Amino acid sequence: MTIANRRDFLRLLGSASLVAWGIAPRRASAAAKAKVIVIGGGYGGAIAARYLKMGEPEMEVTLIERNKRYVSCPMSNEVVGGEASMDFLTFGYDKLERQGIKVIFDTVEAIDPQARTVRIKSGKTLNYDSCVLSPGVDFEWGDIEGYDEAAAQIMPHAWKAGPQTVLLAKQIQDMKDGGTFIICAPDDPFRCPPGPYERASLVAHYFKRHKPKSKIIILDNKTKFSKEGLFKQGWKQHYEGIITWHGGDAVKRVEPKTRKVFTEAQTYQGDVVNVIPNQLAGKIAHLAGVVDKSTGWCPVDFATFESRLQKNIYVIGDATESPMPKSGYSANSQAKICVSAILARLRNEPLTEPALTNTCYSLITPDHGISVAHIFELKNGKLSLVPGSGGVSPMDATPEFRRLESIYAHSWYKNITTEMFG
Amino acid sequence: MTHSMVKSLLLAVSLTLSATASADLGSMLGNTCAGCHGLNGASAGETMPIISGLPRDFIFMAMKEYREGTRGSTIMGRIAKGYNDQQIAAMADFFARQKRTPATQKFDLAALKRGEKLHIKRCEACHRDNGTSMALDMQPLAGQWAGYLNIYMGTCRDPKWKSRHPDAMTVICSDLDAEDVAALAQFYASQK
Ligand SMILES: Cc1cc2nc3c(=O)[nH]c(=O)nc-3n(C[C@H](O)[C@H](O)[C@H](O)COP(=O)(O)OP(=O)(O)OC[C@H]3O[C@@H](n4cnc5c(N)ncnc54)[C@H](O)[C@@H]3O)c2cc1C
Repeated sequence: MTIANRRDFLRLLGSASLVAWGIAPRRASAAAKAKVIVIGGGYGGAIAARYLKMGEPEMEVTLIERNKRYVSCPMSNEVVGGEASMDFLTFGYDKLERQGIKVIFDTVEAIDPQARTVRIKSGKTLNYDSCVLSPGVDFEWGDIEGYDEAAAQIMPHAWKAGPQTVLLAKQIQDMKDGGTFIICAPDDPFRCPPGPYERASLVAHYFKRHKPKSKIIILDNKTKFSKEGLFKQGWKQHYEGIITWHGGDAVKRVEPKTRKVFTEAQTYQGDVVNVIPNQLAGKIAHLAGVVDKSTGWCPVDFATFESRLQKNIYVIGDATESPMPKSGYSANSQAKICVSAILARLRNEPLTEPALTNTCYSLITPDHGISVAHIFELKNGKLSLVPGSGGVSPMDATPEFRRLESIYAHSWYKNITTEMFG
Repeated sequence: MTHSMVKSLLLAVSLTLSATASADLGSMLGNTCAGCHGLNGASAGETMPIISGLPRDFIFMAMKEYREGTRGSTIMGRIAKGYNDQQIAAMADFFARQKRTPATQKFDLAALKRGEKLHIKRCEACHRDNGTSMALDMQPLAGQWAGYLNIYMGTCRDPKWKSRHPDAMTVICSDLDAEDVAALAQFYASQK
C-alpha cells in the first residue's frame, strides 16, 4: 500500500472517521428506530444519554430523572467548607432537551426486564429496547443504631448533594469557636473514597481562618484510606492539631439529640456531626432485580456494562460492582462503554475493546490539590489496572505542583460538567 | 510531505488492522480524555489545553514524552504510562481529526499590545503567523486558553520543573517576567 500524499492519508482516515460514533451517525439502521431509556441524570446517566444521541441522532433517547436540577457531589466539599455556593454545584437539563433527548422528571418505581418496560410514579409505563441504569447509591440505614432519615436532619450525611449539603454547611458556620466537628466515615465500598478526608481538610481550612480553636475528629472503621499518605502529609503541613483520624474503630450508635457518637472503644461528644452511612446500589436497581443480594451492588459484564442478572439492562456508575473507584469520572467512563456496546449491538457490529479510566482530584486547601489516576484493561472478563500506570501524586512535590493540581481540579470540574450538561 | 509525517503514516498504517478499527479504537480511547479535556478535546476549562485539531505528531510525541518522563507534568505522566504506541497513535489520530475550537475568553487591550510586541521580537521565528502555524508539527497557540498558556510558559521558566521542554523555550522564557508571560498568553489566546 502506498500513500501518495497527506490528502490520501486523510481520505483513508476520513472514510473511517465519518462513520465513527461520537462524530457522525453511521447509517440508517435498526439503531435509529430503537428506544433507549436512561434512568438517572447524574455523572453516568447524563453522559450516556448525550453520547447515545450523538451516536445515533434519530434514535429515541429518554432520560428519566427525579429532580429538575442536578446538584453535583464533586466540589460540594467546597460548599461545606464555605469556599463556594450551591450555584456552583447546580445544573439544569435544558441543553440535553435541546439536543433532542426526551427528559422526563419523575421517579422510576419499577422495571420489568421481561416485558422491557419502565413504570414511573405518575402512572405511565414506557417501553425500551435497552435500558441504562445510573441511579447512584442509597444508604444502609440501620447499620448505625439511632441513625435514620430523621436523624440525618440533625446529623447530616451530605453524601447526596442538595439540601443536606446546605444543612451541613450551615451547622459548620453556626458552630461556636472551640467546637468539635465529627465525621463518621463509611466502610468500603462507598462513593468517592477520598471524599470524607477532603471534607475534613476543607472544613479545617475554614476553621483555621474563622474558628481557630475548633477540632475535627474522623471516626473510621477502616485502617487505611484513599490517598492516605498525601492527606496525612497535607494535614501535618496545614492542620497540625486540628484534624485527628481514629482508624479501626467502628461507630456503633449515635444519639442525635445530644450529638454523641459511640464507637466500640469510646464515646465522643460533637458539636456538629456528619454521619456518612454505609452504601449500596440505588433502590431502583434492587427493584429491577440487578443487584447481587450478597454484596448490595450490581454485577455487570465489563465489556458492555450489561447487567449479569438481567438482559438489556445496562448498569453504570456508583451502583456497579467493579474494581473501579465509585467516582464521577468512573461513571462518565463507564457510560461511554455501555453506549458503544448498545450501538454496536443494535447495528450488528463487533464490540470495540473497552477503555476505562478514572481521574480524581482532592483539595487539601483551595491551593493544595492532589490526584489519583487509574487506567484499566479488560482481561478474561476481569478489569485490572494497567501495570505501571496511574497512581497518586508524588509525596515530595513542590507547593507549585500542589497549586497546579488545585487549578486542574477546577478545570476538570468545568470540563466534566460541560460534557454532561452542555 | 515531511519526513516525520511519512514516518508517522507508516507507523499508523502498520500498527492498525484497518482504518475503521483504528477509528473505533481512537474514539474509544479519546473519549476517556474528555472528562478533563472536554468533549472531543474542546476544553471548556481555562487551564486545561484544547487538544482538538492539534497536529497528530505533536500529540503522539507529547504522549510518548509524558510516558517516558521526559516531558514535565503533574498527572499526564501517570496517565500516559497506561498506553502503548498503538493506542497513543489511535488517540493522536482521533484528536487531530477533531475540528479545532478556539476558546471564548476575555482580553485586556494593554496586555494584547505588550504580547504582540514580545511575540514579534522573540517568538515569531518559530510560532509563525501569530501562533496559528502548525508547521513542523508545532502546537498552534492561537485560540488556546490563556490560562493554560500561562501555566505552560511558567513551567518553562521554573528551573525546578523536571522536564525536557524544547531547550529554546527554556532559554526564551527564562528572562520573561510574570507580566510578560501573561501578555504573551493573552496575545496568542486572542488570535484566530
Ligand atoms: C462529597 C463528595 C465529593 C465527591 N467528589 C468527587 C470528585 O471530586 N470527583 C469524582 O469523580 N467523583 C466525586 N464524587 C463521586 C460522585 O459524586 C459519584 O461517583 C457520581 O455522582 C456517580 O454517578 P452516578 O451516575 O452513579 O450517580 P449520581 O450522580 O448520584 O446520579 C444518580 C441520579 O439518579 C437519580 N435517580 C436515582 N433513582 C432514581 C429513580 N428511581 N428515578 C429517577 N431518578 C432516579 C438521582 O436523582 C440522581 O440524579 C464525590 C462524591 C461526594 C459525596
